[in-house]
Amino acid sequence: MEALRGTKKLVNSYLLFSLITSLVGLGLAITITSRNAYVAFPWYLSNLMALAFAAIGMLRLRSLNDPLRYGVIAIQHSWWVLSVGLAGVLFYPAPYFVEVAGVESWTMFVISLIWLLWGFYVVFAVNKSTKAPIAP
Amino acid sequence: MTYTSSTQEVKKSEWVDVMGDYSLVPVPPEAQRTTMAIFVVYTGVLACIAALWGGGVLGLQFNVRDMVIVSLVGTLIQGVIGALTSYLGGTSRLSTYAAMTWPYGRYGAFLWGLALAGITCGIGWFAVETWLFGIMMHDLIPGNPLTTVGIASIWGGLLMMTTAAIGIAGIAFLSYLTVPFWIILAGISFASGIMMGGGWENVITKLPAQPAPFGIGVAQVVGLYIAGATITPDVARFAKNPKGAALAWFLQVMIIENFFLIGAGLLTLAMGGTRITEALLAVGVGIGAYLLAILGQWTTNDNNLYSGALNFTLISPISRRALVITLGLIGTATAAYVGFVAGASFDPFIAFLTILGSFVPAVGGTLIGDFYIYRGLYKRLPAGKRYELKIGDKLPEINLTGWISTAIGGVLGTWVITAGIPSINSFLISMILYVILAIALDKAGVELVIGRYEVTKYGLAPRWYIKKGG
Repeated sequence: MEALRGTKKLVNSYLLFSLITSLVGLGLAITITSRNAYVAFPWYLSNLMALAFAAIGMLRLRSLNDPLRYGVIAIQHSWWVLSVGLAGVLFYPAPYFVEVAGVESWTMFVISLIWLLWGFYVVFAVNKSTKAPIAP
Repeated sequence: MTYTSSTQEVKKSEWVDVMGDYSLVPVPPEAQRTTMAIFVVYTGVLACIAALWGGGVLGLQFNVRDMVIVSLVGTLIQGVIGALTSYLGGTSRLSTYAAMTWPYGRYGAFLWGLALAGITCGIGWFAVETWLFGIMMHDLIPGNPLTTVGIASIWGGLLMMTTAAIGIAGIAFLSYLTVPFWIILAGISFASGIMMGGGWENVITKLPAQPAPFGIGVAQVVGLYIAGATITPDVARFAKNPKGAALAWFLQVMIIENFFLIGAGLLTLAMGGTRITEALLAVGVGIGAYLLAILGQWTTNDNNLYSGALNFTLISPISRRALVITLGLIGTATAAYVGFVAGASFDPFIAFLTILGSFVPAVGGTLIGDFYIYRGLYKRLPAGKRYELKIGDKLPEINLTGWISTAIGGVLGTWVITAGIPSINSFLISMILYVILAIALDKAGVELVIGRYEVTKYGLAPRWYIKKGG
């Protein structure tokens, strides 16, 4: 139970960070829409997906205490958020996006990189502590 | 691997999974997966360049309003058929080919499965898609020795083989990593393509380059993924909740497939062609374009190979993994050969696969008719008992009822009846014919069955394998 508490803290921090930063991303997307709606579209898509994965993950994990079950769901949602991060790392620094929203794009690039790297760490840490499979 | 199933009948004994990945025995509770996991695997299979090309074809034939309607109607049909087969797989816990044992017999399941999935998916489409992968790599990175069509087909085929050889865990792993990423990259391609083509205002007023009737469009959408809708039990058998598996299929088709089809269609209307990767390259997301192509093809083709190999386990003496590697090497070698030989084309082969593929909806119709109408409505068996594999049961080696309905349904629906949508015609004719035949034979006390196969603890493993001692 003690080990699960540590895992819960790690997963909650990751999902909460993803939730807050995706809201930040959505806020930035709103400001970009007036400049170029086509550039803003992927912003909305990626941040809405990250928001949904993080929020639904937190809801699903809220009352779980069985380590394996907890691990399965935590790993699923971490994979999805990190996959959104992978897309973000690739597209935010592209000239097409930087030209329209330079500072905003680089901010989201850093956030996406954190989603990606921290996500990998969470997946493997949860796999180790709960014995849930890497691809549940 | 040995396990005890949760069902009452098999608690007394144990299933032995000789082929791996529960190819010939029911999936045990400990290997079952959540509805979300099933949704992701389905979406991973759907996320491929071919789905976007399918949308591109719609963009050439319809304006925005008609394209949306065609896409929604086509995917609704796929969604209903796939949801029905998913539930069947979820309740039986068996692969498509193992489930086909009831309406076709064990050899029938193998032979029909061989034509439809073993050859079409396992070797056929795997080879074609691997070759297409080579072409795509060549177009994306011309002039590099690693991206000539032949060489790219080799390394691409080997990549796709790895996750299929690992099994459902490997396929799921790749899907988790790829699916959200792929959806976003496709979205970027659509948005930037529309912008480059003059914006939304231009797209909404554009007329299609090659207008086509509504029915043709729906047939194209249904045909694009009807094979996938028929073989859903291969994935759904792992679902903890059979209804969840059906819902997962329906939602991924209605939401994600429509996003791909309509998005690619809009891009095509705007740019005059399905320039998915070109749009990404133009906006500077180069690595994204490469990954979109590689991962999209990989997540789909590994499932083709996985599904094809499952079919061969019904009569093969070698394990599922060895089968995946054997079929994968044959498919990769074929793709590379065609890639290396200048002027070679897969066209005759694709035509042959299309003929075989014409029977896929007929198999789906027979399977659904047997499971839901004959065993459900007529025999009044609960869902879990209709395709329940039990040790000691004697299942048919050949059940001609399924053979007749599928052959007639496939031929009539595809080549004889010219009205309507061919795949739906085949599906409905074979389903109705099967139900009428099965009920009439049952009432007359006649069976069109040749030979019986006794189910052992090895499930549906070949008899010679069992005699050899497993």
